Amino acid sequence: MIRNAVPESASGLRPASAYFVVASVLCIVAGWVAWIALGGEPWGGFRPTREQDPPPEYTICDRSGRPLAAFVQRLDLTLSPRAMWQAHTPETIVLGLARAFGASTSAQKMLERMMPDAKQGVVRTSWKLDTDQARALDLFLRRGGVDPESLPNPIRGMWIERADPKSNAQSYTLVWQPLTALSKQVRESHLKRQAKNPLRWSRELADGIAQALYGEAAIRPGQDEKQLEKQRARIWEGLMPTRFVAAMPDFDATRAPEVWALLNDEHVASHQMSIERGRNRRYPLGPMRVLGGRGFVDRKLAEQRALASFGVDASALATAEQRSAFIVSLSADDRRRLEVATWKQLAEPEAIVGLELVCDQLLRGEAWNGLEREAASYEFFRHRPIRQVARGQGSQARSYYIDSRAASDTPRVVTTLDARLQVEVGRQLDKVMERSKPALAMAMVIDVESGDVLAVDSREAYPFGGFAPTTHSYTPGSTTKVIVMASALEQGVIHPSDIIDVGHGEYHVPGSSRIIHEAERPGRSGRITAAECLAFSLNAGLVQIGFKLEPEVLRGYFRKLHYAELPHSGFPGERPGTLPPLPWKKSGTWASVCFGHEYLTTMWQQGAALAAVIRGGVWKPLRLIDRVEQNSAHWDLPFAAGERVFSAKTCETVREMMMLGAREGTGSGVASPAKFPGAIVGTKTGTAEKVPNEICLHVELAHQAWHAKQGTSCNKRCRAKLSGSARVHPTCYTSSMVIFGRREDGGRELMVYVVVDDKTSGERYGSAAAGPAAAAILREALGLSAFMQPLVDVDPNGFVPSTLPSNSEHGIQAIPTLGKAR
Amino acid sequence: MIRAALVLLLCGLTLVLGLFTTVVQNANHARAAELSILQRQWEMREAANAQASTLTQAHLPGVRNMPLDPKRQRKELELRKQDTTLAQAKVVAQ
Repeated sequence: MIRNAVPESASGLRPASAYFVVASVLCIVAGWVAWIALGGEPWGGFRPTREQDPPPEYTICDRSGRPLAAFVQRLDLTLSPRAMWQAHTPETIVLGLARAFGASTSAQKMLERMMPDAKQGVVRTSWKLDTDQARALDLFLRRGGVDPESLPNPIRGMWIERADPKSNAQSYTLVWQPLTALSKQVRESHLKRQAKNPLRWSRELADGIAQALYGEAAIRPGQDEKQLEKQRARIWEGLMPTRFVAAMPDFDATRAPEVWALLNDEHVASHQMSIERGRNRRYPLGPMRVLGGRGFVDRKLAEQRALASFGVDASALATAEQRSAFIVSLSADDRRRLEVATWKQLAEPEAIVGLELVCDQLLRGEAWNGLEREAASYEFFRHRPIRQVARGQGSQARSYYIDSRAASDTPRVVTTLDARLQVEVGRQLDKVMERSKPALAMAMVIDVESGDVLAVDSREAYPFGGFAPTTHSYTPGSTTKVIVMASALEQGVIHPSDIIDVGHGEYHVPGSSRIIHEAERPGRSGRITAAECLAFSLNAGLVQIGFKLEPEVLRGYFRKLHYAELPHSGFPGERPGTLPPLPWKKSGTWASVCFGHEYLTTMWQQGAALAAVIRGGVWKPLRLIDRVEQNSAHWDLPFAAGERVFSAKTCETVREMMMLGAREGTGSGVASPAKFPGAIVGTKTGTAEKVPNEICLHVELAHQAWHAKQGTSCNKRCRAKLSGSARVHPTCYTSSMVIFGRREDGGRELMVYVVVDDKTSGERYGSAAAGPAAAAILREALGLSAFMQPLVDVDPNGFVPSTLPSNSEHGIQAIPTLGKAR
Repeated sequence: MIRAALVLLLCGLTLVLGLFTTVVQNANHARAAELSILQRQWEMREAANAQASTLTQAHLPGVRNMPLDPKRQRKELELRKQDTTLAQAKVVAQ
């Protein structure tokens, strides 16, 4: 009975089955929702757009984490003039943007940037019209439409001119003023419907021009829509040829929200105008030679790298012919891919010189593969909502957020540089360049104990390739006497109190006709102690001391100090310098080396060697990179093990001699105890005169700069010719000074080394040309001055006594002035 | 009767779920559009912040900040040189 009472369903299914089907659907939907909510992939029925920044590279910081070189985000306002001005009124957009950018940009300037085809607001098309076409187009422009029945309503801002004004040829062209022709007034005076729609007006213009130009062959509205669009595109290509322009590259980012709001309000589509993101390598403390820079590779290298990325052995295709032959043998598809890869290499700036390159190469090493390099990305879906189309707002697609990921923390390469000191070193070198007008000036500050380079910089009077402290070889002169003296003391062939006869400014090398003169004003003459020989930098004394050592031994010490070998600083193009091979002739190389002649060194090598003696005899390579940091982790770079060259006792003796030099000797003019109150200071000066066949640096650098401009290089013959060329002044000198010091109340010991090569103004002596800069840098480094100004004692209230006259009338004894904070 | 009530309930639930899904989807749509706008604005503010923070982090106490743009940096360096020359001139005059 019950069975009979159950009605039959139309589908033949029992109600329970329907219940089951509906429940299943519900379960599936619920399950799907739960899966998505728990992190499952959403349905991929649409294609999301993904924008991705380049992956983070590295920031170069000073020892306290202050950025010296960093990538900084940049915003560019880019547009397609052709697409933009078809759909928008120039006046509205330009005025709006000028308002958004504020006082920094005028509307006129803005317009010029956004209409690159226009010269003084007028675009001259490249069309060459014959008489009939010109007449038809002129008629259209005068009548203001294609309808012969309508009343004439000329289109303002468009007219016909001769294609070549200087020629009588019957060739014409269309000239137009976009600001007028696309203005609201002109548009509204011509459009009967949708008068507020600029796109409608630009289409009418294009259709009218096409009908005038092509006559019966023109496609008219209502005909094939696709062909009509193509025809309009062709006309606009002639009216506004430029497809892409960065109107405001790297604009002030604080203005961006206002600009973006304007683009949104005006319904500007992304293909018409957009704010693009990019990044710039920036040097917030200014350019520094030590940092180097980034640049672009040449086509040859880019092609080689592109080939390598395709797995082709680039060394097998070294010549241009080999590469061309290989490229021709590729399929069209592979050729295109190779071209794209080559352009990618050409377009991407990369570290090419200086610390930038050192850090780049360091982080490319396998050891650093573990650093996070996640690029920032933004995923969104762009489409046109149906309701917008229904409202007639269909031209602008909307973007919908899907996902975004922040970039991983940019790795920081922490250097040993002290930014403040580095800036002050730069300022001092600028002063040296101004005062002495040398071809080249270099300075470095070293933490004696660790070998850390706290500051290093150079200034050149000519364009100079590479980083001078590691690439410029020079004759060091008398600062070498420190090493000769240390070698002699170490060998026990001399004692500080030994008496040496240095004569009176000249020394006759025994057994030869060579006479050695003193470079600097001899502060002592006759019979003096060995210590005074170094303190007063007497060539005669040091030559006699050097003669007490066998050349093999003396050269051996130089080799132990790593002269004549690459210093492996990491800087590109570093030079090893030269050390003459044995045997050394007594009247020649042997004597010359004793006062720093006949061998070449770089500042990097000389600085490391001098620091080794001042340190106590242990040579250490100079260190410029301390650690790499990311997030909260840091990885210290290992310190190189030191190599003992001299005993601590020897070096202590040399240090005392250098301190005597600062007190009484050649350094006393700039480093006397009165000038360094509360500090222990030692100096050694150097003045090397270039020998007659040596090329003056001014001549050499000017010549190299000329070659670089011509794209050539100076060969052996060219160099031989150059060595005979006239000097800019009768004698050329390399002046230098090394100064070390520490505060009596403790703290680190520092060494400053300044080299001034081929100065053309002022005194030649190392103490005069390089000394003031070296002493000023050391004072600053030891905290004895701030910003190169002497420190002023302040009273407990933070005031300094005023130099103003007292005002007894008001009972005021002195007007307090604020002291400088120290 | 119970069966009919159950079926009715199920149909009602289905409708409610459908309606709810529509509301959720619509809200998601609006939120995604709003988020996209916020994302763009955030990007722009991030760029401004990055520029400002680089300058701030690099600031040397007692030294005027250097602009980030290389062209403006060159102008600033020229100005600083002139400042130095003027300071020296004052010292000489005194």
